Amino acid sequence: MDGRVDPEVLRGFAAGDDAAFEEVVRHFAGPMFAVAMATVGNRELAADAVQQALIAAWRASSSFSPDADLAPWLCTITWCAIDVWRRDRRHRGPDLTATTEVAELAPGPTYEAVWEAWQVRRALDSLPADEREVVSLHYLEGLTQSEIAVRLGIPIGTVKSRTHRAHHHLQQLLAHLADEIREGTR
Amino acid sequence: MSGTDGNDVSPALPERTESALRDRSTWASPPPGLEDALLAGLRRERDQDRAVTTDDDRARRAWDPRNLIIAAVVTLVVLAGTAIGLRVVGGQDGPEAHQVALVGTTLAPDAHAEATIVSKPSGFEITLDIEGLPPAPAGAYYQAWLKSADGDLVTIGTFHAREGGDAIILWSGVDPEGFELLTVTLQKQGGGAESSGQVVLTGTLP
Repeated sequence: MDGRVDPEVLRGFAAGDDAAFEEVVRHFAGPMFAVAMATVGNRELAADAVQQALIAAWRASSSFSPDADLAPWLCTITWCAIDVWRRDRRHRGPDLTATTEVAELAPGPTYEAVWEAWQVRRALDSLPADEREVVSLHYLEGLTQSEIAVRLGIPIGTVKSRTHRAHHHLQQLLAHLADEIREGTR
Repeated sequence: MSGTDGNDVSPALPERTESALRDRSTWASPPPGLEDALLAGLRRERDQDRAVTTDDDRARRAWDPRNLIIAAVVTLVVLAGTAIGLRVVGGQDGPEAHQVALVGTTLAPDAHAEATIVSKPSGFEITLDIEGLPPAPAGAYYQAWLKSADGDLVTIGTFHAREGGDAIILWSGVDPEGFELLTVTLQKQGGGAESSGQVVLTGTLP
């Protein structure tokens, strides 16, 4: 997938280098937060879960092989951390609002679902800003291309071309997910 | 993409991808300043870890509830390292052995396996240690594949697993390093050489 971390950073990360780890945090905070939000549904709690996951990642960094892809390794840590964090909060008793309690007690996502969400988020993060914007307006706000053109004050032809490029990029980055679905892996 | 005012020729996205794109959590960005706050918190943790010198200090930190969570996660990750396709390099005196964990799909949810890949003079020996996969029914067999990011498939062998739990030794004439997935499908005897698409085990190659 597009956007792999520099190999030097991976080597530094595995060796416990602080600067390399900070680079990893900046690279992956987005997808980690998105995964946490999908599970706990609360920004404050998601930030807390991501904090726990990053501390765990730092402590486990010596077990990471720099030849491997960091993304699935870190996604696994995030998933594990959220799961353990949820069980710990249930054990200590809820002390938050009823809405948050429900989010914490709901069954956690499978690793496959989390990894898929992670990959979609990273694909979105890799899009140019103008492409990301039209995708967001369509999928999050449900706007048609005409409505997007009016919202952004640009010709509809520009909306169409940005949409086409965005879909092409996303398809390139995420086509393997469709293959795995067809083959019964999901 | 629906609602496109017609004549849209954008490449279609898988339905599950579109569903993820409609989920607000997919787009959720960390609150402003979170990355800096996370890094500051991490630096504090690192400094505290490095400052621990006495047994009393270690005991206090070990039983801190937050550290219990973190310790549990670290243990899970280190023990489950192969579950995410980490490469494990073999001994210094022999050929490198790369290990990949495979998980069962919805077609074989109780199955799991570990593949050990060793480069040999005549090719790549791939040993599959499988658990929880039922024997192939009569008229069917299992087939293992290497799959590239482009969807190209290379078969690396077939087996039926009807008479015991011995490890299964397969061979590849191509370097697995150029591939993305190692999969096992259930094939129908006489159904041709193509993959049936009925994947029962899948693992991500490093």
